[in-house]
Amino acid sequence: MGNFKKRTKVEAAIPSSSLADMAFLLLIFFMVSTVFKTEQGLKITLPEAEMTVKVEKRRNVRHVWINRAGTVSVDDVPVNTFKMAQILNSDLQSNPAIIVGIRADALAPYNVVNDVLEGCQLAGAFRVQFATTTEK
Amino acid sequence: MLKRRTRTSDEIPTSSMADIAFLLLVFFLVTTHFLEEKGLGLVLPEPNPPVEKIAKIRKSNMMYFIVYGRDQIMMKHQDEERTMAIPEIRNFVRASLQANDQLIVSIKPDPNAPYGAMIDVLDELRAADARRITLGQLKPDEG
Repeated sequence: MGNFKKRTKVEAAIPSSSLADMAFLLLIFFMVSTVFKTEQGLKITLPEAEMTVKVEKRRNVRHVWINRAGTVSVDDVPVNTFKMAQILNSDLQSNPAIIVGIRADALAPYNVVNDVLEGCQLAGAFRVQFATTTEK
Repeated sequence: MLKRRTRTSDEIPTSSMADIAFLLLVFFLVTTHFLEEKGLGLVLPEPNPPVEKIAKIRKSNMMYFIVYGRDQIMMKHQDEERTMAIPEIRNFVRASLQANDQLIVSIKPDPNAPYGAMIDVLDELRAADARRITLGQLKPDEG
């Protein structure tokens, strides 16, 4: 082993000329990863719940909307329970990990929610989730 | 007439490229909001279970919450029957579970009850750490 140390002079500064490249990289990353809302949904006020938890795989969540008047909507199309079950069933064929996210208005009559739940059971979609907001 | 000619460069200065990029970047950062999926999860049972799977449950192990509205909740357990306010439910169920760990809590909302009232009860049961919950609409002959 020699006693000679090789000293290389390295510049410690980040070259400002690559600033634009970095910014563009981040920009492209955000542009690509941004997912825009694909459905309009119905106008609802979600109920509040203290024990609200997050869903890990949010891409597997399939929304069923119920408004105050009791209208059920999937993919922005008003449906009856039977049609909803059909849609969910065909979705489950392609992705068995689907969770049905019930986004119902806090003042929706319960019998509509009950019908939706029964439809989910018939479709074989056993994992459901009642969308809520955290209590203030 | 004399025209005054000013010489302007028609190129975009590359030095401001970074500024433009950062401006766009900040715009996207601010406008992006992630759609969060939050709520109370529930696993539904099979619709028509085979007869051998149906278990008999003792009446003493069942507790019912009949929901008519946010301030009209009836608790039924054995012979006890009384109305209960939503904040009361948590401690009541927790105490009942300590006394009997086989307890199954059943939420029975009236068909006309608001959905939010059922969520309130379910939320309280979650907070009380009740694991065995059933959910079914109140039938006309019940309640």
